[in-house]
Amino acid sequence: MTLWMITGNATADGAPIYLQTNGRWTRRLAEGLAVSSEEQRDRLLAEAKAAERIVCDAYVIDVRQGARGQLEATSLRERIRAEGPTLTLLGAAPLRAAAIA
Amino acid sequence: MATPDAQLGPGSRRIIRLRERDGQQLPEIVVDHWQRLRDDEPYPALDTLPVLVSLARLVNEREQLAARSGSFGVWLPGAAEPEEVAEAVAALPLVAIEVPKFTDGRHFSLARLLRERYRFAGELRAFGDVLPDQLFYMRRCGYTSFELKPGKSLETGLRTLQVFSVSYQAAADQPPLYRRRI
Amino acid sequence: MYRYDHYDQTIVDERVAQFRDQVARRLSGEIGEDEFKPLRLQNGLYMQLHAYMLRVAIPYGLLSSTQLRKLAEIARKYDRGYGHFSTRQNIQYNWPRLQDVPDILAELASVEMHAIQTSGNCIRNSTSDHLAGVARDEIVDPRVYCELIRQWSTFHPEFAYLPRKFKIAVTGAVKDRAAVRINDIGVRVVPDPEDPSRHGFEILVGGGLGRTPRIAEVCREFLPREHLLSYLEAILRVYNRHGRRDNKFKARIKILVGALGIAKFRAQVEAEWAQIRDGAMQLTDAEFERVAGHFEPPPYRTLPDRDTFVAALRLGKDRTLGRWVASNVIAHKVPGYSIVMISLKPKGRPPGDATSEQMELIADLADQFGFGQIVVTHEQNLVLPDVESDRLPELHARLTAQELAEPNIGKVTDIIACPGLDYCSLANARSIPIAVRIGQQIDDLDYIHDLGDLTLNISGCINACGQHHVGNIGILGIDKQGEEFYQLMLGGSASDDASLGKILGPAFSSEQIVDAVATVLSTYVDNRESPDEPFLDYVRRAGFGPFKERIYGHA
Repeated sequence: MTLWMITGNATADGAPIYLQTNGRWTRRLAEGLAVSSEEQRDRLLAEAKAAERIVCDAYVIDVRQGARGQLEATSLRERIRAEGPTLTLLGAAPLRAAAIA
Repeated sequence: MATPDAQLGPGSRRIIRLRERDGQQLPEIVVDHWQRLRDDEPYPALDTLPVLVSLARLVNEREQLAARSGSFGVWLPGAAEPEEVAEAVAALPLVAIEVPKFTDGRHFSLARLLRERYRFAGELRAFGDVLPDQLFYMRRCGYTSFELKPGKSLETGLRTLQVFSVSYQAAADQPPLYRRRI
Repeated sequence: MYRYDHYDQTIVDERVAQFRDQVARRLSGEIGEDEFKPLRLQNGLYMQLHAYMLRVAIPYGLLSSTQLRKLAEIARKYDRGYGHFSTRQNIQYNWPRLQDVPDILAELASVEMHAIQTSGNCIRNSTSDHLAGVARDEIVDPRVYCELIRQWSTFHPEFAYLPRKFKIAVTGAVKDRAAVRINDIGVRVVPDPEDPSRHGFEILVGGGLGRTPRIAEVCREFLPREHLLSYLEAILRVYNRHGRRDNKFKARIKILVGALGIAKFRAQVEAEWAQIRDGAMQLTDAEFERVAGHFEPPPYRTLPDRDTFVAALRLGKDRTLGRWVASNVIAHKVPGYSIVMISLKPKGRPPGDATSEQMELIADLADQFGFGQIVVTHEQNLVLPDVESDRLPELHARLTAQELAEPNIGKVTDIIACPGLDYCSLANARSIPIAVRIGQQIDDLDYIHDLGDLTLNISGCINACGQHHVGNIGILGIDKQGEEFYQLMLGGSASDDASLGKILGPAFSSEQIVDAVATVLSTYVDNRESPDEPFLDYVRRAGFGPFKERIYGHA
C-alpha cells in the first residue's frame, strides 16, 4: 500500500515541514500525517497550496513505515531533506522547533 | 475617494497613468474607458468610446475606425517586432502592449524601441500579467500607463513606481548616470 | 577598490527598502509565492532543501577587510556561523530566515555590499581574474571594466526578465583565470591593433555548461574601449528579443548562438549596435578615469626583489612551509611582494566553507600583512594579494593555526564541488561527501605535490554548478534507480585551452568512485613521460586507453 505525505518549505525560514491534521504542520517527518487515499491526498495538497503564508511549494512525497515502526521517506532526497546535510556542519547548529502552528 | 471597481461601468477600469505636473511625470490612479477589442468583437454601440484593436484590424478597418467619433489605438502582443509595427502605430494616441506572463520580458525591448528609436510619442500602456513590482522598470522603458492584473493593488503600484530615486544606466527616460553625475 | 559615492549608496539603500516592503507583502499574504519568487531571486534568495539560501554578491571577488568582517558577523548573527564561497566569487549563507533578510541586506548596505541580481533571469555578478591588479602577466586591470559592467547591469530595466540567467566574465591577463570561454559573454582585454598603447576588447559569446555545454565563440575581434557598454547592450537586446522562452533547458544565449550560427548571430548584434553605438551610452573618458581612480595600486614599499628568498623557502628544510610556498604562493608583479592563496579545502571539511572565526582572522591578516583586501577565487578559495615576501613564514604560522594553510592550491585536493544533494533541491546526488572522502584517501602531501597541477570538479547534477565539464577530472552525480552513481570524465579545461571533458565509461557507485579517482591518478603517475608532463597534457596525449585498462580492465 502506498503511503503519502504532504510536505513543503516553511515560508518563515524555508525548513521542510510536514502536514499533520487540522492544517497543522510539523518539522518532524515521523510526526506527519500519512494517507493512503488518493482523494484525501489530493485534497490535502490543494489545501496546502492555498496556505502560502505558512508553506511554499507544497508537494507530495512517498513515505513508509521504517524498521522501528516510525514513518520515513522512501527517497534519498527526502531522507536528506528530513534529516539535514549528511556531514558535520561547521559552526553551532541551533535546534529546530518541534512544531509550528 | 477613489471609485470602487464595482461601481465602474462594464468596460471601465482603474489604471495608473503618468501625468505631467510641475515639470515631472507623476503617477495617478484614473478611471479608464478604452475598449480593447478582440478581432471578432464588434465596435461598441456608444460611438464616442475609444477602442483598441489589433494591428491587422487597424490596417483592414482603417476607414471604419476613422468614421467613429471615438479615438482608436492599437494593442500589440509583447513579442511583436518593433520594426514591423512602428510605422503603422506612429501617430496613434495610445498603443497598448500585452504582457502574456510577467516572466516574459520581451515587451520591455519592444516598448523601449518604440519610444526611443521610433520616437512614438503617444501613450504607451502595459496590460495583461502586469504586477506592481514590475512598474518601475516598465516606466523606465517608456511606458506611461499601466493596467494591472485584476486583483492587484493600484495603491501598491503607486508606491512601487517610485521605488528608486537614482538609476545607473541609460533607458528611455534618461542618459546613463556617468553623463549626469555631479 | 571601488568606494561608493552617494549615488551608489542610495541605490543599495533603496533596494533594501524595496525588498523590505516586498517581504512584508509576502508575509501578509498580499502577494503569493509565484509573484514573490522572481523578486526574491533578484535579491539572491533561493529556496533549497532545508532552508532559504542567500547569495551575497562580491563584485569581481574583491572584498575589503571591513566587508569580510561584516560577512563573518552576518554568519554569526543570522546563520550558523559559516559561509560558503561559490564558483562565481560570491558568498552563500544556507540558513537565513525570510524576515531577517531585509535586515541582512541593510547590514550589507552599510558596508557597500548587496545581494542584487545574484539569481533570477537577469544579468548576474560579473566575475574576473582573482589575480587582477597583481599578476605578472597582467595586460590591463580588468576590474575597472567589471565595475562599469556592474553599474550598467544593476537594475537594468530592459533586461530583468530575460529568457534565462546571464553571466559575464572579464579577463585582462595573458592567462585566462576568469573562465571567459564558459560564460554567456566573455570579455578579453586586448591591445588596439592600430595603436598598441591603447586597448579594447575581444568579445566572446555563447559559452556555458549544464545540459548543453558549449565553448564561447568570438563575436567581435576588437571593440574600442568606449563602446563596451553599448555593445553588451546590443547582445543583451538580441538575446532578450530572440532567445528561446519555450523550454527552460534551451533558453541560454548559447542555444541561440548555436541555432543561428555565430555569423548570423553576430550580424544581428552588429545591426542593433550600429543604431546605438554613437549615442549616450559611449563611455566618457571622465567616467573611465573616475572608476579607474578607485583601482590605483596601493602604496607599495620599494623593496628589493625577493624571488630567490621565496625559492629558498620552497626548497628549504621546513617541508611544511616549503610545500605551502610551492603551491599557495604566487609571484607578484611588484618586487618584494607575494600573492598568498588561502586554501578553503582542508582535509575532512566541505570545500569552500569558512567559519566566522576564520573569516575574521583572514580580515585581520589582510590588514596586518597587506592593504586590507581579500579576493575570492572561482575555485572557492581566498587570496591575500599583497604580502611582503619576507613575512611569508610568519603568515604561514598564523594561517596554520586556523586550518587555512592546506598546501593544495591547484592540486588534486583543491576540489571544486557544488553543494549537491546535501543542500540543493536540484541535485541528484551528494558531492560534498565525495570531495571529503577523496581528500581523506589522497592525503599524502608529497604525492599530491608530485601529481602537479590538476583540477578536480564535482557536480551533483547536470546543471553543472561544480563545472565538472571543465575539470581535468570531472565527476557528475546521477540518480540510477534511486541510488547515487557517479560518472567520471577526463580532459576538461576552463582556461585558454578550454575544452569539455569526456566520460570515461560506465558510472561508479558511491563506494567505487573514490578508488576510481585514485586509479586515474596512479595511471598518470605510472605512464607520464616525466614528472614535468602535466596531467592534462598526458590525458590529451595518451587518450583514454590506459585509464580504461586500469579501471575497467579493458580499453
